[in-house]
Amino acid sequence: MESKELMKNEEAGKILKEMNEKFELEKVEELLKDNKVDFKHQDKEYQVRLLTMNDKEILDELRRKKFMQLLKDKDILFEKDLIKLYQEKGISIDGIINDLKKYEVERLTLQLRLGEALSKKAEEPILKGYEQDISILDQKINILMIQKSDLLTYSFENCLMNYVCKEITRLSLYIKENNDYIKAFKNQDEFNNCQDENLIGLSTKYSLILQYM
Amino acid sequence: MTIETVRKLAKNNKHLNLFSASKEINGIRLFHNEIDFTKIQTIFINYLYFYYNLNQDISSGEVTKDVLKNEIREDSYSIYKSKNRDNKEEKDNKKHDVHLKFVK
Repeated sequence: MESKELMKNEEAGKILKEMNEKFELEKVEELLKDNKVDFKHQDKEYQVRLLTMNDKEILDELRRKKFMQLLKDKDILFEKDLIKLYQEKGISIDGIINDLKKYEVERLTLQLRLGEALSKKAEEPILKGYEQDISILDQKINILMIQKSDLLTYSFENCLMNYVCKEITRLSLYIKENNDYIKAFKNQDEFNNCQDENLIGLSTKYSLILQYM
Repeated sequence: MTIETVRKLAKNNKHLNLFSASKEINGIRLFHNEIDFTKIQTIFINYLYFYYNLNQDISSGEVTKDVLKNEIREDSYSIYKSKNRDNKEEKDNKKHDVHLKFVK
């Protein structure tokens, strides 16, 4: 009985995953074609658009101001200084970067071998062997990239980038009111006080794909 | 996730056919905008070229359909092919190098 229930849950999970993938495909397709994307959230209609020239000017000014503000903040370090500080505490980001380079060279060698095997129409087990080795290296590379990016989360560069991403989201998001789309947030405060994490998450994703990726 | 999605869309026959048609027939467009492509649109076009070339190689028998089984295979084959092309070009260039001897 329990295994039947488990199978049902697994199947439901699979269907949900497929539905999400289909939704994602449709939305990205829409975004590619029109440079905008419509979505419904809690019975309200939203749209994420490309930034206008005016928005870009506002963004530039905000970025400049934030840059100066961060520059004056003594608690925020540039990546290179943060790397030095970590080194003093025994954490080597250069070590992570070197490992990444090493794995990338290994991956390229394996990719060339797999490519050659494919063009020589090699047997399936040979292809699968290379594939597995590349996949293991990909996992190692991903782990190191996450480690590196976690360690540098609070660098000057990241703080500025996070701020810019937030502002891009705010400026790109529109809401439908009386058959017209207007900016969903009137100002930074309204955006910063928004409690709806799902709305912010979704609009961040779409706006960054459109403007930044 | 998004790059994977863009790649999936580019691999899709509907988009590949549209891409082939847009290369041959004027007036068929992939996007609403004709200029000022966004970065994601450029990535999409690059992937369309990528899959168009892979399918050409499959049609000409240079590689089997197995290459399309997963992204690791697709990337590996493409890297190998471009490396080979670079090597061939380098050899060809060397062949055409002119060596001049100065005689006193």
